[in-house]
Amino acid sequence: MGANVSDIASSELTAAAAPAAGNVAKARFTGDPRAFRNLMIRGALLQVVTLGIYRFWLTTDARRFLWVNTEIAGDSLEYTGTAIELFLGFLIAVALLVPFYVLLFFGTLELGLVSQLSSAAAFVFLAVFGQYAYFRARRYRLTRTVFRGLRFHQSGSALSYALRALAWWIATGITLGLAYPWAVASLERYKLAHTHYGEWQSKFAGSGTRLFLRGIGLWLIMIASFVAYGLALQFINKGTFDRAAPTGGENAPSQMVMFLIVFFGTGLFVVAAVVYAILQGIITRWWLAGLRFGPVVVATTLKKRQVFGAYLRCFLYGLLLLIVVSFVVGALAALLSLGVAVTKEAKEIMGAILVICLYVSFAVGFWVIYQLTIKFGIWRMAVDSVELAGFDAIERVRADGTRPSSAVGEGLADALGAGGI
Amino acid sequence: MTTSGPALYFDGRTSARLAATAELGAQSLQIRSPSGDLLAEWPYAELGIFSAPEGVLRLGRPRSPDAARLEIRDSGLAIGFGQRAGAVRRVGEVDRRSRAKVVGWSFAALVSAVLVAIFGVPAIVARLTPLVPARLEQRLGASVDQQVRLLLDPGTRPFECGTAAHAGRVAFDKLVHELEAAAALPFPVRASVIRRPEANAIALPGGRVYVFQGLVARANNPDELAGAIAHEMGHVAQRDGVRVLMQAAGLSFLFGMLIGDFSGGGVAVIAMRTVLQSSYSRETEAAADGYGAALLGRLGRDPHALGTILIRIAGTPGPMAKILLDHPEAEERAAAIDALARAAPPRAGGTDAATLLDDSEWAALKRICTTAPQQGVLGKQ
Repeated sequence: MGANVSDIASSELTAAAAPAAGNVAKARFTGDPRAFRNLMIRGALLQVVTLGIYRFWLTTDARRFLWVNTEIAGDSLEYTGTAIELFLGFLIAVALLVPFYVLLFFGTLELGLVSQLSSAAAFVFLAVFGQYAYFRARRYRLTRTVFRGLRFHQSGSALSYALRALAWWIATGITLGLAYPWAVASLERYKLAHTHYGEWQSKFAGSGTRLFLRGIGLWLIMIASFVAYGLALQFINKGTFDRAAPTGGENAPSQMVMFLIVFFGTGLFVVAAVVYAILQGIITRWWLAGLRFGPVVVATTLKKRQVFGAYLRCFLYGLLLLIVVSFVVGALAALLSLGVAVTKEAKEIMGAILVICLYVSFAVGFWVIYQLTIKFGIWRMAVDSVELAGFDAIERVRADGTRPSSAVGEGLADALGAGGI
Repeated sequence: MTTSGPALYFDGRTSARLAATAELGAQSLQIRSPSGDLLAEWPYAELGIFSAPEGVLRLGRPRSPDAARLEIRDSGLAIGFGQRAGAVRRVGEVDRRSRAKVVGWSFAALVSAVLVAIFGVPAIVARLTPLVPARLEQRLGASVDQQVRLLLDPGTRPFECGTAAHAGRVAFDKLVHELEAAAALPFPVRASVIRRPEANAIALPGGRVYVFQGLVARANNPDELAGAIAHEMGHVAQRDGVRVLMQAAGLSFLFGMLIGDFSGGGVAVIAMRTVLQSSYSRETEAAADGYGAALLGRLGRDPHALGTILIRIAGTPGPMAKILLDHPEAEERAAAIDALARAAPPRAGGTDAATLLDDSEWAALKRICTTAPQQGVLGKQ
């Protein structure tokens, strides 16, 4: 039957509306941004109503949308996970973590050193365990991803990945971030080397050195900004002492100092934000161009400024939201102060409720903005930028009989990310 | 009705895309190659609809180990499939009904968690508290003490008022010992007056009691101060320090784990915890009031003194007092103490003297936080 089938495939492909384009396949994103926006707004509101329990259903909805609208050479990805799986995985993870939290509770009850040691140990443990959970969660997502009738899957050891990540973090910390490019490259190599599509093995070909060369300028700018900020603060301090004595005026210099500190602080923040957004662009491009699936080589036309634009949009929409929320606060506070009949306590309680409502609405609104501009925005532009060379080989991949993995890893990642304790 | 039409078939064994013909049989879906060979036959009962882009009907068998799929893009055939196959499960889809279910069940879960927090946590903690060894509580107290000192101690002068030789200190210790002798406590009380302007007193786990300078200043007689200390001894006797810690941990766990990773979730957790903890503390305070009033009565003193000083200090609570101790509704508490006092009047002619401290002792105690040498020490002899 095999020969028969491939004959059919090659002869009937065009009839089946497949854009066969030589040896290079294009990916494209087919989803309607408005549909995703509605999904997110409704999901965010339902999360508030259910105090977050809806997140498993929202995550599933979002993944289904993103996967299904990611089309490669005419065929779309498919997400087969279900919200119930995620929810059960989360419950199991909570049960698994109970003994740890009990231990941690007793640890913090101990005196001085033991208490500090136990919180430090807990921090390291949670960090490593978080990476373990991340790797397991990745396995869940890959085994729930189907393309042309075959599943992706992941081999490798989550523990070994977590220890590798820990070692690289330490190295990155010691070198003030200089080791970061090699850290990302090494971790991506591990992840991709253990990623499979049917019998194809993936590979990450991105080089840490190349990322280093692209990012070193940003690193230098950041360091220089920190140094400049420190120097400016010192200069301000010195200046006030020199000047305050002869003039004798106390208010003028201190206001000036406050202004300068806020001014330079804002400057540092803006530089850091811009550097971060540009770095994300560099990393996303570098990561996409480093992907290899079997013989298929990924190339990207993604521009750094596209990614930067996504962050800028997020920032501007967030700012707009902040302004709107502030106006609402002002208007409601004015209304509240007009009410004469109510008692002082009633006013205080109403004020507190008002503040909580506004805080939650800003938090929820910004979450939606972040999902739309950055998560969705970058996914879409990344997919649209991708070209796959050597894609013809896709016709000959065989399944290798792996089964979907459990969702406990996702649950652990969720439970650890939730924090709260 | 369309019962046959073009489709794309992925057989789950390779990634090849096969053009095929789908035929809607009576009980099953038959997938045929263009030359008419039967590639697969899927009973309708085993089928599931998987997520797919707009305009594509993607079918597969959810229970099958492979991920074979049939994609129908012909709308007529898709309609025909719907009529023939009946209700087919949409794998992983979150429809209106399941959303309503999630909201309903989450609400039920929230109600259940709140009920557990209101009734379950205090009940469990009440059972567990006596099981905590006294030594553990004292160790815990030492660690809490460090943190409390960090919070309260400005660090400029000795935090605790009065050295051992100070007449005020002697009087204070006498007062505490008289109270302690009448109380049955799980471990010795270590009480001291600290330099804080607020009118307040706190009991830490393990028997340490701090009386703030402001409270000593605002007490009009030894009985009132004794009442406040007796209240704190109530906390020690009931081991409220451990109880509060365990309650807080229980609440953190209950809500911190359940609610979580959504924007604004942190605020929800904090609000929930604050409300519940203040409801716990109301009960705890009422119990300590009862204990304090009873202790005063046992010493032959007037339990009303506790209510009196509560009302007085409630008039001007410092910001710290509000944070450290939830002591709401002083009037209500004083009324409750009065009711207790009426039910069990102070023992007349008990083993004790007419007053807990004589006038010179009380005067020395009022000056406990002044470091100037006391003439009273010599003068009294």
